[in-house]
Amino acid sequence: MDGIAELVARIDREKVGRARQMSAAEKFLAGAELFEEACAVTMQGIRNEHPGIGEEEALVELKRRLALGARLEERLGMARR
Amino acid sequence: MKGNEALLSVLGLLERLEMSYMVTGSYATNVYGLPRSTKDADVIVEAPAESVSAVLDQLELPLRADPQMLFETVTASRRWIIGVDGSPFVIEVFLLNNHGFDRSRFDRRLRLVLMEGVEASVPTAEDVIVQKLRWVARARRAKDMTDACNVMMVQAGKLDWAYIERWCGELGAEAVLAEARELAED
Repeated sequence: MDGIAELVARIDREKVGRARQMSAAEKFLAGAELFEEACAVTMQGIRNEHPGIGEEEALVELKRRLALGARLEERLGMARR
Repeated sequence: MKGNEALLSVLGLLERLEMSYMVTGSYATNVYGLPRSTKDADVIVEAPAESVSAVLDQLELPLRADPQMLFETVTASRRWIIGVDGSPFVIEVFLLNNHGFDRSRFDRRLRLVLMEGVEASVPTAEDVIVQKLRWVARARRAKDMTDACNVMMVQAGKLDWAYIERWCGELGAEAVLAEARELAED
């Protein structure tokens, strides 16, 4: 195993270990919290790209980007079939 | 309103009305695997369509249920979408169908205590794995395979493999189960 592969394997093992330490309730609630944190960063990026953009318009752009991600996921799935 | 508040508000309504439901999708996967970001919550309800429509009519802003029930041809499921004003987060409500596996995982659902006085019904870890692999066999989405493997790794030593093998066999997912087990091996 090369250095990068070893590092990736170690990080994965650490992630599994951390997940085992969390309670089921914490993990149940974590997905939406992580999503909101990610959206907050993307919204900030949108505001930086488009100075003066309104909240409604920024939200439309965020939704457009999320839809692009969903389409890409579908395409990747189809390519593997 | 944040995603979790929106979901807990919908679940609270279902609980008060004593309707049978379970939270599936990424929320259930996160309970047993590695937590990852999710932009939606999936809820399966066992009730006549009219009852679900009537419940969704009771939702208050910022929750907004699409009055139109949708029919998904791939899964033969009927569903409604609940949006949250000012947020891209959505809650999808599906009617329980009569497919053998869907019935089985619904009947085996567990109660999860989220906080004092707040509980939610979720599928078992085995049922999360089977459902994910069922999707891998049909759609080959990378994230479904990753989710299934993550649950296998985190729950190592605690899974009922005979149950998983039986349903994967019935659902034509034996090959993807073998692939996932190999990937999840430590």
